[in-house]
Amino acid sequence: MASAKVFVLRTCDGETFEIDESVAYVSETIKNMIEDGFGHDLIPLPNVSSKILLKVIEYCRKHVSNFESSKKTSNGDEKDKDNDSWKKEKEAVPEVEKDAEEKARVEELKEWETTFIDIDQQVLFDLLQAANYLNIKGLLVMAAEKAASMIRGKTPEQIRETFNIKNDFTPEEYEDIRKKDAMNDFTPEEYEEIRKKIADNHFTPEEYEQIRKENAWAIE
Amino acid sequence: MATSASNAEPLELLPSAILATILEKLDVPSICSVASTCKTLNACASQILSFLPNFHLLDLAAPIDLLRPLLQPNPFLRSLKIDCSRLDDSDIEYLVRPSLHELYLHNCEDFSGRLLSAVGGRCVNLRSLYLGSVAEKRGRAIHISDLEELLSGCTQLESLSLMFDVSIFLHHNFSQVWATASAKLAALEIGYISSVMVTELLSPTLGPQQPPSHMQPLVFPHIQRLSLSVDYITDTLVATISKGLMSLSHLDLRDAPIIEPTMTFDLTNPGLQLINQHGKLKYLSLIRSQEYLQTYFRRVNDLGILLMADKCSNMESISLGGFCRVTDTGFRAILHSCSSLQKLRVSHGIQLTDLVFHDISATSLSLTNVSLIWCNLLTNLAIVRLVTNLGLMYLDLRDCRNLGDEALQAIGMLPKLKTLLLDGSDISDMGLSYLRHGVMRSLVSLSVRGCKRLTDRCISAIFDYSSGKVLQDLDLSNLPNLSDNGILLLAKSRVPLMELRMRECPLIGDTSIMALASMQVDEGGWHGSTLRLLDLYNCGHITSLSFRWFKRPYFPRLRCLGVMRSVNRDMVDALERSRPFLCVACRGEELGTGHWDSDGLYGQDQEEVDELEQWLLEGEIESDYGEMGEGGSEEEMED
Repeated sequence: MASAKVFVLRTCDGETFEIDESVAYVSETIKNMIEDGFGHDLIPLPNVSSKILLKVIEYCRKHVSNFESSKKTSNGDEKDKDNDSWKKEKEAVPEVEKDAEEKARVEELKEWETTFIDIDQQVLFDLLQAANYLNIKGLLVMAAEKAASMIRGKTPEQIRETFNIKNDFTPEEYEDIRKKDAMNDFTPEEYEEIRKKIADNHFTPEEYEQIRKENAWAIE
Repeated sequence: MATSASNAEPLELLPSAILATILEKLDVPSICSVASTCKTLNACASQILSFLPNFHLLDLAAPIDLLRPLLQPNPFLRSLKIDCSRLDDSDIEYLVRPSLHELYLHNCEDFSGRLLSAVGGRCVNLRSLYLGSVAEKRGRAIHISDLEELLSGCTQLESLSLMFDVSIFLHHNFSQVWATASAKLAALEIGYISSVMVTELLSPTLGPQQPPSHMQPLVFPHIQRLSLSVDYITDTLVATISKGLMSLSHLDLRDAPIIEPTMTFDLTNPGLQLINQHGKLKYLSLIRSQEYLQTYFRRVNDLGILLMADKCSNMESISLGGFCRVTDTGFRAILHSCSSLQKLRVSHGIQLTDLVFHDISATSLSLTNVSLIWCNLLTNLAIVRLVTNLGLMYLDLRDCRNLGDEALQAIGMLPKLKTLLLDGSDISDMGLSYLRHGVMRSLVSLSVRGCKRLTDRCISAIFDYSSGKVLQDLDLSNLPNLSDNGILLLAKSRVPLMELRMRECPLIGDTSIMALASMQVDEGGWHGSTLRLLDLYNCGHITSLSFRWFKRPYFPRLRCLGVMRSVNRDMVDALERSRPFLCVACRGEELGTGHWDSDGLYGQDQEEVDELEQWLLEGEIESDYGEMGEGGSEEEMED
């Protein structure tokens, strides 16, 4: 059994991680650095924290099998919780894969990805930046889709609230923008007004009757 | 869950390359939302619009003023899908772009034939084209030369859908025009064409002035998918198509006779046997619509189906509508011959009984879509047998009046069910409770229209705080016992519905609308009602007071609203003016693209169909194996 080469990565907070060549090559950036001859010493990653690199390595290890079709990592891989060293992966060489097995594998991968990306917003943003810097296309796409899903279908006010964005338009500019956004058919000011009036939606029929009477005068 | 926003780095500080990657995945209305949040994201969104590959805006009819700033010059635009209800010829230049590979334009009533010639002239790279309702408005002209320019210009075209009446192109060189179409054309769909025109198009004929040795070129040599709406499905049509198209894998024919078809102009047993002459057919759909006349394929019986099934063992999808003479023997033959069958649709299967599914578990079938519409002899037993196909995702059992709670008990075990239509069945609240713990986890679309035994309790039967969160479409129309309390429960359950229909519910009133309009507040912030479509046609207790709740900002995403006929027309106009993207229907028409197919189902009363069944049962005096036309009994049917 040929021993796979091992590379050492160093994060911005000084931690080091050892990973196999196959895992390292998932990142185009690291791959290029190694090919350019920088693999002998530590590979510094000044833009990535150890917390995020952990996630990235988890992704890479899961996706090594996608790049090398002849090998297959066993799913019962144990991860070493200790940050300073990693066990060498046990690689099982399976028999010829049947179509059904392939389908099951794809299903399992999808489920894994759903759990993997179920993370904090801050971690998501850091992961996006790391995936961008390390040039790991699959991870970037996955994280971007997660971010997109948090935006999709929301009003501007809801998006601002989700991502803590400050509305820096002047009233005139905003009026102009609003016209372009007409298809979404509302204004945040109107929402704000209603929001103050309605705290939650658990009304009883009596309460609705009350609201109905109060609002009857507003009908033209 | 990614919920806490308070400590997170602001989104707009991410590098623009990453922002672009995220925004690229969004639909156009979401991009517009993002553009309104702050200056950085506004610039990013504008930039995205200049290299977005897909621009899809089908759920609202945008006017050109709204579209113009969004449809910027974009050499990377590959796919454009737009609802053109508010556009016309003057807007063609925005829509017709050389970079496009895919162009879908719906509702082009106000365009003239110039649209076709423009597409042919400029979209040379087009692979896939859909044009709906072109020039249908009075005064708009469309000529065969437009069609010719389209066909000869788009040389790379692989898929073409002309969803309007193509028989207006009746012209002596109709075939020649079609011969100029791209040789790569693999899929063709036509909104309406007469079967005679199709036959002439597909049979190589000699022109009157041409020497015998000069044959016209075969049109559509490589067509794999053909979908046509014709006047009559005839033997000649089927024969010509099956013989002429050698690569045909998908055949979809529907007709809507306006007079009772005569023997030479109808599908018969021998005609049906001519299908699939080249053995490649995987998908077959033959539907006779009851839209204009109560009629069916009366010259096709079990023999025809048996012989057809023999030849069609590779079929994956079979859809038969209006084959009222076919009995269990015929339908069973299909199930047992076609081992790869995944989709089965039978409508007006008046003689179809439980026996068809009696030994379905002995076959190796793994059905995913089953529709058994107007099959009144079906009972719960059939469903119990049917659900041994655990992979079922789509189950349409509309108007099978004898299905009840036992059927639901069986259905409750299906792990992948996404669509369940139970219109007009004999189910009760308890039956629906069988769905709560299993099926409601995956169900996206549910219809219990006209299930008259249901009461308010059915809502709590289906939804509890953990289930039903993926449900998007719900049809509660024609339920005489459904009241405001039921709808209050629905609103409280916070199911993020997109389409809700409550047509003709006598007890529904203004309180329901208030409940549905209420803002929902939870940890994720607050969201207005998610409803895009709300149909309240003829609900008993809705008054004009409810219109207060249709105004902004309530129902922010509402696009289609159905209201009662008696509503004050001025109020509707005022509402439409203040909400330009809301379409209000007052005449009782069905909204949206639901499950109504043009079988003409929803136009029928129960009584009418009973009459049809009566005729059929009377007509079945002796076995008519081997007989093709019943000249004598036609007069009997006419009454």
